[in-house]
Amino acid sequence: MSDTTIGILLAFLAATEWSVGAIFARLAMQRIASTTTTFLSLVGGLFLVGTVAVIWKGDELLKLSPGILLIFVFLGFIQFMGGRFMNFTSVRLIGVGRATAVIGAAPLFSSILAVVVLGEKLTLALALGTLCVVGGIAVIATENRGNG
Amino acid sequence: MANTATPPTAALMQRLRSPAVLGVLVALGAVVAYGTSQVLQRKLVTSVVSPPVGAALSVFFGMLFLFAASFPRLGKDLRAPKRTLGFALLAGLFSSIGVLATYFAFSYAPVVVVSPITSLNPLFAIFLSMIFLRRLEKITPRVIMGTALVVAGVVLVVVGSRL
Repeated sequence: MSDTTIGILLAFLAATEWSVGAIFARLAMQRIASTTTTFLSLVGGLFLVGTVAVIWKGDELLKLSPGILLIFVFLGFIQFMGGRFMNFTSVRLIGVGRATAVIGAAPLFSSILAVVVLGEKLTLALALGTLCVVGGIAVIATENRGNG
Repeated sequence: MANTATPPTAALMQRLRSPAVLGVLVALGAVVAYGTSQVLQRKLVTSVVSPPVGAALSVFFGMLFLFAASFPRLGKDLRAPKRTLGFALLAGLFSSIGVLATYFAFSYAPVVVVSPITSLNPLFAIFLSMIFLRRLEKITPRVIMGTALVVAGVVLVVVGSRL
């Protein structure tokens, strides 16, 4: 199995696990705030990923430089405070459908950024595929579900 | 007449503050945040840290920021039924597998391949909602059309990554 195939399978695993997580988060947010739900979900998440990191790569954790830690402070901010907080806020302001449709465009932005910053190669098939995924999610997300 | 007319800049500011425009601007902010974090994750796991360490550190610092953001309501929210708190923790367990899998995915494949596939999570969430939260979602021709478009896109990404 090639590295790319493993990467694709892991990406599918990530998408399915996030969607299961989203269902539980939706159930929790019926009674508690989105920020509290996200905080508690990260507490639960840290228990799992922290255990894996300590058992598997504990020595690597001890060798991290302050500079690298600072980069992760920034990453933690944009990934969870920036991404998730703005995601929830946009859902509150314009509803799930429109917010999901706009945020579904994230792969377009990350692909362009990856080509510019990391020098990744974007073939015609990859570009068309990304457009189809983004367009398809927008079509589904803008479906009038009647309950926002 | 001139006194009653709204100055162009004031009218623009008023329009920008409307929930509809503000909501789209905030959603675009989320696009930038998600996109930037994915590129940064790829860079970090291919040259600086291993995927489990990267996932643990980003979740740890994210948790600290969210603690500060949720602090004003935390005491009240923690008095919610245990079942609700359990749902939030379960959301975290599943999402953290997603975070871990993403970091590993970025260590094997480029952003242009991983990103479109991880973005499928709203689609899976809709289908899971249809199965488990039947009162919320219905399969309509529009959903089928959108799904067909997404599946075609994924096939193109998978095939395109091998060219």
